[in-house]
Amino acid sequence: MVKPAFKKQFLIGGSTESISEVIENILLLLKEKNLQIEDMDFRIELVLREMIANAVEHGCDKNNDFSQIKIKLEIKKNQISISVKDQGDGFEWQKRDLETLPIFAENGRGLIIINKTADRIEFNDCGNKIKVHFDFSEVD
Amino acid sequence: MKGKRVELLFEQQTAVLKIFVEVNFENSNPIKEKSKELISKNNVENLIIDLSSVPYLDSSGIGFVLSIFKFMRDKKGKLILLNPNDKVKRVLEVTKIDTIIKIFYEKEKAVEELS
Repeated sequence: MVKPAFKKQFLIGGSTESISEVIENILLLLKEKNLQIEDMDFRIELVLREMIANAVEHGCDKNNDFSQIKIKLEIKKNQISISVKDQGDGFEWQKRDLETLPIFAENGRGLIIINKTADRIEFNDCGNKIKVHFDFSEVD
Repeated sequence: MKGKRVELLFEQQTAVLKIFVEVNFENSNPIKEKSKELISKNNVENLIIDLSSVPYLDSSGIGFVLSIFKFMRDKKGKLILLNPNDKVKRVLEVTKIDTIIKIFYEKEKAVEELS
């Protein structure tokens, strides 16, 4: 029988205090599921921190503490998917190079780190939602 | 009350910039400015950044390290990173910073390298 997908949603505000807490909660939840993902804690924390930092930096009204960033976690058959959506205008992700890591540049690493660490990455059309996928081998 | 985030110490005449907090998108700019101010004010020629009290560096934190690296390079000085924790070490590896900046785990050896 196919297991139903596990879904959970988190809402956080434009402040940074809640970032560590939500990441901790997600990692704890994943640990409880006993998923066999290589280097899971490090990879998911790295990706989540960059995704949420982008959302806070570019997609939040810093004067409004109301929950503005939507984080969705979904676990189905062989895959964890995590999406982060903010209320900003997004960006032209189609024009960004997500492959070439700049060695000496001071900015522009976040999305490349996400792309290189997750198994797959996707955006909505306007670029205010990013979704990453991590594959795992299912354990009975 | 906010504690101190960065201070400059001297270890056998070698400058050590000690960072006490996670460096992220929120605080990397003020930490960078403060660090450059301390380096300039003290005429630092070579520098160790002590990361032992830094729980995490995100990509903005990496930007901070690179900014200090270039700042020191422009002054013809050297930069060494000291004692990153496992997580920070992994971030330095993923971003390939470890290929351009030396990382040491013993302060004495880092000081010796710059002496």
